Amino acid sequence: MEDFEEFDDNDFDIPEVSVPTLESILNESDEAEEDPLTFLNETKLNVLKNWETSSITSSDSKKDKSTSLNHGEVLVVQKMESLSRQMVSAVDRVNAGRPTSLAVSNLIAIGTTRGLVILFGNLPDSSQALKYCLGSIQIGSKYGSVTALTFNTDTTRLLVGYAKGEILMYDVTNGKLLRTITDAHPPGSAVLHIKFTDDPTLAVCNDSGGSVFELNFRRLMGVRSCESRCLFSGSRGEVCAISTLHLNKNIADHPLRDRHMLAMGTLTKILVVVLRPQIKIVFAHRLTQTNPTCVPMLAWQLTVCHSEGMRLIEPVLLFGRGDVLYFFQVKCDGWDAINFVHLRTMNITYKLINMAWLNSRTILLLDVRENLHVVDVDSQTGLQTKSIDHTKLIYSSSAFKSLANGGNVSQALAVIGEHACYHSMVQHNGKVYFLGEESVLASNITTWRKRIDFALERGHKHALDLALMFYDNSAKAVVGLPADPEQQKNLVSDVLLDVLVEFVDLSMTKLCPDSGKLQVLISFYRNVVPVCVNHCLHIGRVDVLFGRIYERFRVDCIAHGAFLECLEPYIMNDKLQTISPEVMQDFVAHYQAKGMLSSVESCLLHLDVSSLDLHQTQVLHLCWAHGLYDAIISIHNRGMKDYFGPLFELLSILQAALSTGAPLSEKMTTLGNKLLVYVSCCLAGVAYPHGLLDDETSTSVKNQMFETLIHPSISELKTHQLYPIIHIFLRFSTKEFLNVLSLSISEPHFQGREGFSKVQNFVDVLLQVMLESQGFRPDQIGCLFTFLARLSARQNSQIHLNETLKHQVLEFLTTPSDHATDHEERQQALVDLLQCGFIEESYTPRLVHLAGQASFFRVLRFLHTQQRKFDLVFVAYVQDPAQTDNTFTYVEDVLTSPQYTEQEKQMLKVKVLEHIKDLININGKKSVNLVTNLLQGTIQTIAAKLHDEPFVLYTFLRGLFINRDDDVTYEAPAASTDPDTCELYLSLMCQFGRAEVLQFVQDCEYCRPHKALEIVRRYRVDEATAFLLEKSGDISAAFNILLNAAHEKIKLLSEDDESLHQDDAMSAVDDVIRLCQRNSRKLQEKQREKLWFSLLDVVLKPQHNMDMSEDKEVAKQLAQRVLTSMIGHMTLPAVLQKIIQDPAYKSGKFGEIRNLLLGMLETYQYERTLLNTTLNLLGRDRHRSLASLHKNVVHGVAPKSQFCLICAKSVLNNQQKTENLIIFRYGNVYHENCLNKE
Amino acid sequence: MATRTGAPRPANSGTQGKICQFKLVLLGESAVGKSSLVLRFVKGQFHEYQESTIGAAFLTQTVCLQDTTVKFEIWDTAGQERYHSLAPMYYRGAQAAIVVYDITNQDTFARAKTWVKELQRQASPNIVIALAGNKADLSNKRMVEHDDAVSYAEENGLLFMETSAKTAMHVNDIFLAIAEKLPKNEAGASANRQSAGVGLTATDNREGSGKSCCGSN
Repeated sequence: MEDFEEFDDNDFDIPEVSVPTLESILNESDEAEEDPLTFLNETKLNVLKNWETSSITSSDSKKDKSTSLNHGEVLVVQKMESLSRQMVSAVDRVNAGRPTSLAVSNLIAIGTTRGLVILFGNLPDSSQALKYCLGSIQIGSKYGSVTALTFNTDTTRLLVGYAKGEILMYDVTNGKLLRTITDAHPPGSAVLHIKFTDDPTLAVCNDSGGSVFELNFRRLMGVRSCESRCLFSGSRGEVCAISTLHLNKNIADHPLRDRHMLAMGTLTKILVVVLRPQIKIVFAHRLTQTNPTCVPMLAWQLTVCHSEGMRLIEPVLLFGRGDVLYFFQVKCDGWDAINFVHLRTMNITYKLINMAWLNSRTILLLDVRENLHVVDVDSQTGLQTKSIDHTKLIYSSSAFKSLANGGNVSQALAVIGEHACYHSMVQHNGKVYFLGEESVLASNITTWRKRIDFALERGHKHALDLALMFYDNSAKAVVGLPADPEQQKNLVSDVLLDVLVEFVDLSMTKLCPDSGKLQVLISFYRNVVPVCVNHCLHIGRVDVLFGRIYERFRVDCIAHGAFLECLEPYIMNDKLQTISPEVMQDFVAHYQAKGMLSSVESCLLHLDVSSLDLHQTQVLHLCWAHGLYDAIISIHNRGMKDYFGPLFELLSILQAALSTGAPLSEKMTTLGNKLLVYVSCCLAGVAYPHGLLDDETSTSVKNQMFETLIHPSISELKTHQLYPIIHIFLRFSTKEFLNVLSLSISEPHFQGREGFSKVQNFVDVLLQVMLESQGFRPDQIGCLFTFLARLSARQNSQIHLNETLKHQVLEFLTTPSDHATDHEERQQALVDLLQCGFIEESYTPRLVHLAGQASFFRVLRFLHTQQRKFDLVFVAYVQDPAQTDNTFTYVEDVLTSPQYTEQEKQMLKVKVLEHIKDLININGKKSVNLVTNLLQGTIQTIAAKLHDEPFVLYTFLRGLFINRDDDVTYEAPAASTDPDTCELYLSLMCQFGRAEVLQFVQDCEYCRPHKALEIVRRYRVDEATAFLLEKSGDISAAFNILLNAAHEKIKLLSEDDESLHQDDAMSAVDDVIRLCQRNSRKLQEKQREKLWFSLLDVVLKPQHNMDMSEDKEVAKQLAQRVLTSMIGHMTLPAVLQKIIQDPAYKSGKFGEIRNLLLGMLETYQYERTLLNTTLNLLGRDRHRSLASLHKNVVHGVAPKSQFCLICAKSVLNNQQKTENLIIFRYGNVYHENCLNKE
Repeated sequence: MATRTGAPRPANSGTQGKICQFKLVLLGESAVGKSSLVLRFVKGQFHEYQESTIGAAFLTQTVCLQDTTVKFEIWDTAGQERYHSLAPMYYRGAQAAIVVYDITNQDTFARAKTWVKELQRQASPNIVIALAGNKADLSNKRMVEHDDAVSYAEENGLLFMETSAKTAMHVNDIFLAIAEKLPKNEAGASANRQSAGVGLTATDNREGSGKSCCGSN
């Protein structure tokens, strides 16, 4: 009991169910249970309507329909035809009334409104014969309609409950009435439920008062009696659903046996009690559903659990209300330890009115719209939805409302009664029966086979999909398959194949588009074939694919072709590794006919060789005929473990092609290349063309291939030459063959002592072949030498070459080559050689010479570094066009690093100076840095040295000076402040970089002015000269220079296409204008006039010569600009006079100077307006200040007191009227006299 | 190698961290600039008229990452159709591949895609593949859109850069990106295994190989 308490409190938090005995439950005052009633009293009808509508929308679910598509027809619902017919006729004949309730066992009992019970047989042979008609209309008129029925477990007794509360017991074996029980429960309440327990002497009934009673049948001395006991009183919450747990008879020793478990459902609670040995409550669960129209539902199901090798029967209680279902499993660990374990809670989208188990994994739900839902419990998926609303399902509303007794039931029960149909949906033996107005339906789960048949009606693909689900065991609610997975798969796959073959047959005949283009037909088959292949592969029955199915496709040549072509992707993806020889033959033939041999080849590479049956199918023959070399090699390798046969044969072909001397055909080149790849694969011990070999084969192939390559004579190759394979390969492509070797030698196989001896062996053979026989071109020999060099340079390689050969190699490597890549390859090889110490000291001078010739600067650098001739390293850097920039880094490194001796540094310095020209050409700035930082004070020397090369010197100096500008923190080298250097630079700049001269003279404060002036004059750098002159105060000279320049420019303007010079002229004139403006203030009126007017003259001059064309526009613009600039510096009359006197305007045409005059007038107007405005502003200001002064003067002031603050006499009582008073602004008043006195 | 961006100069003294050796193969249609890319990377040179490669050329170059020195053994394959059958020999066992196409030629891009497919199918499964759209300096004649290549590379998990051997744009970057992406631990071990006696030679070589990583080869 304590367990039970904990269970509830912890897991479900149901506080009110804390008292374990039934009595206390009955006596407890449970307010919560009254909730639905109070709630109902308060609610109005519209609330109920709302619930109705919401439940209707929720039950309309499209999802269920879509899922039912996948699962096929899970549920079959059949009308029990003969039974229904008999029922209807019985109803008509004996005026039995309408059916009201149903009980199913080996018999089917149907109760009617007029108190009759009709019994039918319910045997597996589906004989539904009418057995008895129990009761009579008299009974009906006395007791009311039948409201509940129950059979006992062996179907010998039938209990019938009536609307007015009576209960009758019949012996159904003979139709005798055994008992009439009238006092089992309070009168005036209908029997809602009546249930036998497993014990035939014990039954339970539930009346419309909501109470539950147990009925004990006794037979003492031939007198049958019945005692009833109240189990649960309806005053504490009405029970409206009960369900007894029936344990199978053959479960002998179940702990729950003879304990008679009973589940009861009230509106708010589910209670489970055991009735024996004494009544005890074992489980309670509170229902949270608050919708008053939802009926509580209960259903037991026995499930089999396998635990620890034992087969345990454990009942599962399913209960629910509205749209929530709960699954609880009953665990019995002993007599008293009955635990309810929560399995799952299922929320559904529709409102339920009844439910039943179809089997232990599947439940059948009936929603308020009379739709049946098949639901898989484990996955909680709806499998199918089916409507039975045509059945006119019977509702036992009248019983729930207890109409026969005047309707004295609680409102809650009456509301629930609307949807109560407990007796019209009855489960028995895996079938669920439904009672309708005029029919009885039986429903059960379709067997898997039937489901496939149903699916077939919708299309073969559906059936195949479903069958695959059965095969994979992913289908739900499967009935009829054996438990053993092996058997199951066999059974399903047979059916699946039947369906598949049928599908293929249909595709070939009925479904096939009879008319249409070839393309349509092919694409049709292309859709059909993969279905077959996928399914056959899935169930591992390729034999059928290439047997029965293939036979069918073979009939039609288009289908046949499509079938074969559809195989290709499966082969390429390695999904299909074996093909029957017959099909393979067709496959090859088909592709051959279509000319798609490369596809065949790639397929062959993927197929399992053992399935090819090489001799029969003539695959090899085909491969040879069409040159499918990859396939040949691969088939030999995999099929016959023959790694050399195909090599020799193919080599012979290659040799034959080579011996003709003609250039190789495309095909032969490909062959040669493939052989090279093959050899490299073999040497690496991997499969050709891809994949891996097992370890043993790999090692043996590696060794054998190596041995074969260096074998002096091969009988299979008909040649007199020694080492024929190497010979052929070298002739085919020396370079590639040597690459193969290079690659292979880096494999671990050729490492270590043994490996090296192999390599040495190989090298010896190679040398023998190439050097001792005639006919190899020098470039081929070259490849060999490069190879040898690379090989020798390999770290820790121990290849031995004799001295002469070594030198030969070196000589070759240093032979200049015009091919860049080749050149680099050789250099690299040489460097590698040097790095590994391949070359002895004594040979170095020769090598230096050779490397110098070949311009192998890396080699040179290396050699010189080795000899610590860093000056020469430097030279090699300078000369190497790819490395110029690193020269500086190098020199810097050497000169700053302590690793080098002073002497070495000195030597390097000398070399640097020698090559300073080159350095400067590389990078002036860096050279300067170098010189100034590391070779202090030598700028003059360098300048002297570079006297003959002014441009180089210029670059150098430019580096010196530009540096200074770039970097603010850069400390200017002393040299750059030296006037001599500056002047030198200036003069060079005048020659090579005129554009920068002005900037320089403006910025540089180190040049001596007169010298600088001299220089710029010499080189006629006008702007700079003018600047310097201006700086020295000689304005007129500067002006003249600039003016001349402008003059020149303007002249050009009139000669050529003006657009070219227009900007030039403008800027020249602007320069002059700026000069004038700068200096106008410093000059006398006369001088100023002179400057401006001479400028104006120059500008106006071209207008004299020009025609009356647009050219003038520019000139006029210039003039305009000069005039505008003048204003402010010159008086307007002077300007005007000047213009009028000018010959250009003198000619008297007003039009010509009109613009000019207007411009001046405009200026005049502008200035006048400016003046006026200024005057106005000033006048206003002055006026305002005057006004405020005036205001202060005339402002009246009141004295604060009547007494002078000094003499303290009254100012009012003035004897002498003439005496003046002085009143200050703040109100202090004084006599004038007093103030004066003070 | 004046433009060795991103490759920090190694310290002048003191030993390097790990030295890893990687086999790298260049694949692509002929005349897309495979050899030019390699020459630019290895020598810093560019030849306007690079002769077509005959057979595969072998070059090496060393780059320095933060703590490792990566030595690339570069197999520059010939792009001409008749050499294609040789390619498996070179990409078998290669740790990295650069598939090159010419951005001014759509066909070369298609060919590059087939190379990528072949590599994915037949080269070692963890090969690092980079896609290089070469001749980026000729972008006014562009036929392959940059975005197309980027999305293709993303779909296939490739490194991608548009390069120009002529202007050296991204040439070193793509090699460095490969070096970054290559797994250093196991490969480093394999390199050590190959050169059991490195210790001595490494110091001896510093003038040469050390210089070559700071860009003076």
